[in-house]
Amino acid sequence: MTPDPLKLAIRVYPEPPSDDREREKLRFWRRPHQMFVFDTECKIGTAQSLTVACYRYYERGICLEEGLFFGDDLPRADRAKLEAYVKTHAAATDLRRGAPELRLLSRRAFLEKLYAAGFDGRGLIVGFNLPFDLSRLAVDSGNAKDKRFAGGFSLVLWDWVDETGKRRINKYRPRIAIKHIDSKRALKGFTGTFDADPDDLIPEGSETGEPEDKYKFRGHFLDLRTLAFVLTDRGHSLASACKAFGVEQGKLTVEEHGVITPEYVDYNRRDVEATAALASKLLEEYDRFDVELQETQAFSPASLGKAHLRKMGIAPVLERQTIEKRYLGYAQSAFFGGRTSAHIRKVPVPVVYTDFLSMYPTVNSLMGLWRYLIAEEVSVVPGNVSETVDFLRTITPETLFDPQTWTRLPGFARVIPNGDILPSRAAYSVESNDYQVALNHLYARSDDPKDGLWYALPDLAASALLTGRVPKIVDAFKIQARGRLPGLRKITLRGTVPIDPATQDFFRTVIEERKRLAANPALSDEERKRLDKALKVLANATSYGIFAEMRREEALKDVPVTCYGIDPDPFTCKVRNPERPGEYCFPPLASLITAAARLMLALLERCVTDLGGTYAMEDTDSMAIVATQRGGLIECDGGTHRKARKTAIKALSWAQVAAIAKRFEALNPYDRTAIPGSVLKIEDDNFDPKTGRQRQLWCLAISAKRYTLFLRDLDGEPALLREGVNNKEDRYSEHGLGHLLNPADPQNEDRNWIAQAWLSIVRRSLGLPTKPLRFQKRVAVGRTTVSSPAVMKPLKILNSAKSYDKQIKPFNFILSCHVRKLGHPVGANPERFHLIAPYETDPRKWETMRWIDQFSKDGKRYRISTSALHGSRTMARVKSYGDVLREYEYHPEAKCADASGAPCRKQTVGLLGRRHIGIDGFVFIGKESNKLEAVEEAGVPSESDVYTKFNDPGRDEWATRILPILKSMPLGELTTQTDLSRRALCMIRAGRRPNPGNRRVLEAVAKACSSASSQLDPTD
Amino acid sequence: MAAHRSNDPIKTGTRRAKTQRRVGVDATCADCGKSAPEVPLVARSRPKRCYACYQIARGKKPTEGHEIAGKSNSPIKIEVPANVHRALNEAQYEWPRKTLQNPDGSPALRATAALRGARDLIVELLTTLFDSCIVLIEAIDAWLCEKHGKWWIGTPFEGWQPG
Repeated sequence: MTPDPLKLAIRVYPEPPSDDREREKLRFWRRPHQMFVFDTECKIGTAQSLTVACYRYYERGICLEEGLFFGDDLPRADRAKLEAYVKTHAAATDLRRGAPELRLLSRRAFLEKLYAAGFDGRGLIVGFNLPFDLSRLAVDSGNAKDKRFAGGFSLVLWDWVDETGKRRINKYRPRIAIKHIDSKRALKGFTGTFDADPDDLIPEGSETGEPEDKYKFRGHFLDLRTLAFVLTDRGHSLASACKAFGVEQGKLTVEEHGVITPEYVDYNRRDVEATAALASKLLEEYDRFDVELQETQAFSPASLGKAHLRKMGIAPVLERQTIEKRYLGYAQSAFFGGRTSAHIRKVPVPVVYTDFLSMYPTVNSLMGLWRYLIAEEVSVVPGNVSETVDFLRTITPETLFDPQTWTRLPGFARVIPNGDILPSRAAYSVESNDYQVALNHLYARSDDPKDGLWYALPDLAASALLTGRVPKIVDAFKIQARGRLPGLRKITLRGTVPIDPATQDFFRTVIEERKRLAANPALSDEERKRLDKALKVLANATSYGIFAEMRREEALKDVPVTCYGIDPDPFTCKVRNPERPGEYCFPPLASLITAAARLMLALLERCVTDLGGTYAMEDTDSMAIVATQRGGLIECDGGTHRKARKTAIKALSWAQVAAIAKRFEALNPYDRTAIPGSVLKIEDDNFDPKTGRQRQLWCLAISAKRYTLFLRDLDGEPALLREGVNNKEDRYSEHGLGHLLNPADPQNEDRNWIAQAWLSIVRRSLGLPTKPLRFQKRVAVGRTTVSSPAVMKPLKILNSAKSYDKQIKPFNFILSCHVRKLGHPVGANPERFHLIAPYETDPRKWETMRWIDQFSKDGKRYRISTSALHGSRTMARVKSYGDVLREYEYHPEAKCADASGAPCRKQTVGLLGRRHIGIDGFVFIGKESNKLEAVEEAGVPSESDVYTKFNDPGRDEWATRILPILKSMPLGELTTQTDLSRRALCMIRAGRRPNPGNRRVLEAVAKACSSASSQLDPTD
Repeated sequence: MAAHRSNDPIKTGTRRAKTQRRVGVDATCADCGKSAPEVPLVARSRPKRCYACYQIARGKKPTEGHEIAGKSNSPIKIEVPANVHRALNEAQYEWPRKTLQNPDGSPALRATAALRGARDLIVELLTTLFDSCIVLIEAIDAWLCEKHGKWWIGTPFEGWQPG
């Protein structure tokens, strides 16, 4: 098999210039007694400007003031309705202490209240999705200039009228800067003010009450959407958060939004009441953790996890320890995400769906990684190559089922891959612009150690297990823990679960206690559910994410970054988006944890294949093993067996799968009284929720993370696993579709249409008749937000000559659609072309609207069509829902190979295999998970917008490989082959960098020349 | 402080928060050792002092005259400790402005002001006089429980055991 040449993307450990922003975070915090809650309602449509809103002011949980306020341009008739409303309705304030009347204020009068409560009084400003609400209140917006909010918006809320009647920005009042992180989180803060009042310069927690000149009060913005995410690790709407936290005054429904009626005002007031009640529930839950982290600074479950480590007296390893950076670079280069892929493509197969119990905490515990966190000294032991080789020689399924083997895995080695099955990150698909992680056969360019790659030992053990041979190792190191940190403190998790970090493995204890909860009669159902969720969130947050945390920053100019990667010496380059390792970032642990999870799946794969079986898909910690009640052969393209003259695969029996699961009992690191049995679970989905008896599940997988599980009745009719219908939860993936609006009713959040689409795909794959979906000809439209000034820029043309309230504002919803292949307008650059439009809820208008190219400087507008063959000068051929679903159904699993060994294509069906990849150089990148939502929405079509690329001058392929060949070629031949002018070629040979198009041509010519003369790569 | 239906709770809350900020976190009076909210601390005082100690340090009386129903409603003035006077004034800020200022001399508002003033005074006096007693008794209970177990077995207080 000739390996396909591909450039591998390698993660590096970056070291940007130091900054002092951490200090700002560590200031004193005592939760204010005052809470100012508000929620705005807006017009439906383009501007989404403020109509009516409600606020409440609380002190120590008691409502003292309630009021309504309205937008500046609210028609007189609507205002009269509000005036009538406040006359006939009382405020829901405390009878003894609160202001009795329900106030009605203008937007400006309300802002005075907000300023007094939030800035002057330094109370909590509470809302659900605050960026949207704050933007409704603004009178202007611009780019945030503060470094902390670079790339975000700066909202002007307070203005004044000069003597000519013109409105001017009030420089004596702060702006509010907001930087969007994702749909659940945003950084928010007041900016500095001109000639600040001495009272405003008194720092929070000042003991003297003395003003400090440079102090800026940032505000206490509590976005409940973020706090709910911190506590549950999932995105919530106000309604779902109220439900999850038992808020009795949940959201109301209203027939029509944007039209002022007494019911609509009731609805708005109820939202504020629900928000306030939710705030109190969330804060009560948050307080149970009793950590030194202000809730307004908690942005993710990882924040909570880190706060717990601090509370236990566990300082970050790299803060208390000096470890040579090159080892951090080696470990970082060995970091890959979970193993996820389709293995049997587009062929429905009967399966048993299995899942590992808390995979990351489990492997963490098996390898004993807790000892590194509490060790007094963590050190690197370099150069133990022979020991590593000897260890890998011992790897068999039997040795891996011995937990002792796992304690020897914390180490890394540099290998020269030669057909070994190892993880690699590369742009496997020509069509998509992202890097995918795959487990393929890798081949190094040469035996030179410089061409080798670093891997965590679990990955090398997995390779040895799957190939039966030990990779060629040229260097290795281990990490070693000695002693115990002084000053470790016992804590009680969420006031219930005691943990002694000195004697207990935190990860193990948390998982054990989670299971013990189920048998604890002292807890109410609700309390049990909450505690279970809290422990799950904590276990996951502390067992992996915080060790891999890298924060991508937006710099105003290119900044130099020192990068540690696969080579002993670092390189320096300048980038616009430097990354900064998170507080607890420790690449060796991060790499070991994910590698060990892959090893666990490799061990399962080996157990299955040893019995002649196979699997339909795998996803980080789960695998759908092809199995029927009695086992046997099943027709499947690419299979190695024969059934009725067709290729087939072998299905294991349920008993065989159960026996495999039983083997994993040996790897159960937990207290067996709390968690008996195996760590490999036969998932509940395999059992009928009514009878409890095992049932036959089926799986249809298309590609990584695109699969569904379903049942078939006696007539062979499929039924997807649906929550509340036939299962505890839905089991069809929304990956790749989740960003699209409900085509039946764009304002409806119901995702049933995705289930319908999946059912059609399943029926087609079973050869059953399908009805065309009602919505398949409709433009496939997604809803996104104006999350940054960059998104706002092309919309300026629509905003010109309009007052702010009529403009498209920051954090407004906008529509986005996707151009079909060859559907781009003539002259447009497909790599930087994305259509957006003002928000419109009537789908009939979508095709008649003018859409704007997000990347054009002047907001160029186009018509769209879903029926034309291709784009024209003024029109783009965009995808309909039918197009999107067709593409979805045929999305290739490019990182895998078909039965012949060729890369998987759209039409490939059946059993997939591993590709053979020749390493054709390296690209050094930062973290891959930036702007994930924007990527899904296709709002970031260029990979440079997602990844930070770090260019290593020492490995610059152009300078080190291509240019020498071009220089050695006769100029005349070069001119003929490239169609470039002699002058251009001379300049390029003299050192000038060609543009990307010319560079591609020149590279191709140089490679062709080198392969002909074997100059480029003597090992080929 | 006494509970009132405030005119502008946000303004009141903001004023208190600002005062607290100027005073500093966990500040105590340099002379009497008491801290807020038990006593009002004076932000501009160096070192930090409560209002009464501050007045004394400036050579003024530790007591002040307080118009119970407000100057506009009644000339009745009583001498109260300076710290109590500050608290009573603070409470008067939260009265409806019309009641406090009574520009038309309404007898009904005058009566209301008298009631409000008397209530504030009683609540303040009860708070001042009783709060320390309450704290003291609770501390004694904790000490007795620690020394003698539940219900202070073997002490003269054994007979207080319930039932």
